[in-house]
Amino acid sequence: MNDLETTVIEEIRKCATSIDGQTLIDAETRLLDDGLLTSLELLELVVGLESRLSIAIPLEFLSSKNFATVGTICTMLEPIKSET
Amino acid sequence: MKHEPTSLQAEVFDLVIVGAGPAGSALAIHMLSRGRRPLIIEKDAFPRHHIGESLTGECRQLLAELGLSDYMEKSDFPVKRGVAVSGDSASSRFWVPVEGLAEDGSRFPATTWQVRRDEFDEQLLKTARAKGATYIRARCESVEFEDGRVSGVKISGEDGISTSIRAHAVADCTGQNTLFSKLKLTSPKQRTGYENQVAFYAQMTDVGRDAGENDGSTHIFYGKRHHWAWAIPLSDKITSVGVVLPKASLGPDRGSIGDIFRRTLNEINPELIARTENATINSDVFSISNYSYSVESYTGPGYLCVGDSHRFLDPIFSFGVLVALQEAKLASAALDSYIADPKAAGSEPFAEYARKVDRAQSIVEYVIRTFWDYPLVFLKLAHFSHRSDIAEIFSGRLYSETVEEIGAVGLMRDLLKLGEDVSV
Repeated sequence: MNDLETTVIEEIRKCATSIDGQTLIDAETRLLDDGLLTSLELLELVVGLESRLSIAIPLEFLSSKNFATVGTICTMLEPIKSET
Repeated sequence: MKHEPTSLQAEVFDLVIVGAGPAGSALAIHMLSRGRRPLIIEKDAFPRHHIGESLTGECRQLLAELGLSDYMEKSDFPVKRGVAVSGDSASSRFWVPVEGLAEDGSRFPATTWQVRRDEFDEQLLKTARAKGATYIRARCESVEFEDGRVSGVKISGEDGISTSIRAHAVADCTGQNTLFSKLKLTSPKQRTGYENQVAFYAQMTDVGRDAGENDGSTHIFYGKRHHWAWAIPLSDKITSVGVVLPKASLGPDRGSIGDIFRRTLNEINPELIARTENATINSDVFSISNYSYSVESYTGPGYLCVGDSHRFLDPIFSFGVLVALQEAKLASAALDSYIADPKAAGSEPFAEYARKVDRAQSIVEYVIRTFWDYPLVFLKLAHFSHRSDIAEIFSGRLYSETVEEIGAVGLMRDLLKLGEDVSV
């Protein structure tokens, strides 16, 4: 697991009220479809990632498809991070 | 005074208003305040059942301008302090307060009402008639022209006899009936992308409500994209409940309208299930589809459309009555100028009215489409990055000249444009 994936999972754990520290989250965990995150918690994740990574995620990237898994989130974030 | 069409043939009205709902009655009241003589034509007997019961905060001031403050304050219409939105889980709930907009641009807590439309619409019509509007039960069959300008309408009364009524201008306030579109006075109705939705609704008793002073508030229940429901208190006991979903989701063995309504109540959202588990349907169950459309060109020499008669997108944000009242107010100014000298008005006398209306309706469309097509973006704008902007749109800046300067408006517009460009 790389640093970005670790960061994303940490931020997810801060937002998700339905899980505990023992819940397994990996790159393929389906965050929305499996009910780990509600829509408001997803917003908290967005805000948390922007703050922690000092980035602004373009609005057009804020889709359920890009936030489906840790993997898709990281794929979306990589080019944004590299531009900052 | 009960009028027969033939008794009005000798008169020349300043304006014929087709439709006595909020748009038509409000337009009549504004025209009377400008010293004009309106005739309201309505095919249905009032009071009559109608959907669209939740008002926005801005409606309070608009109703005051129409002389309805006293009636509204003394009514037993539930007071609406906000909208509760329940999302996809028990913890996904947020509150959107009703706010007013002061002249200095600051917002303040405000209230508005949920209205039983049969009573509300009837009171608006009564007010218009009391102030001097002539009113007739009749059906408008056609709009008549002389020298390229409106000269009146042809109507048929309850006796079935067709009569010509002369007027300087005509306004379509027929709402979803979209009369002028049917008469081909406007450009054709266009698809909006929401025309495949269908709503099922009824009045119910014993629907769970929020406690305390928020018990009169609207509740929206979000299921998934284009699947949602509303609960709007109409009295201490009665709640208007509706479910909205794509027609394609109904399936072949759909059952009756009532079957679909009851089934969907138990499927769309956990909070809705909880609030309706002990509730009873207290009316017929109605359905409405094909309620979303847009007409590009809806004004001409001596005629224009107001409110739903030219455009309706989606009911999720309860803009319907607001749009009717606000467009009636704008139309009255445009019509007053036109009637003063129709010959000097040119071929597009209501272009400025259409510009203001289209601007506001476009922003309503941005908000609605962003909500449905980019829900995470909408959440971010409304709850985090542009809270004030979104609140201003909902609380009174929609029809202001500076509304396009609101940051969130540009963001939503650009995002939706980007989505269109990508999909081409």
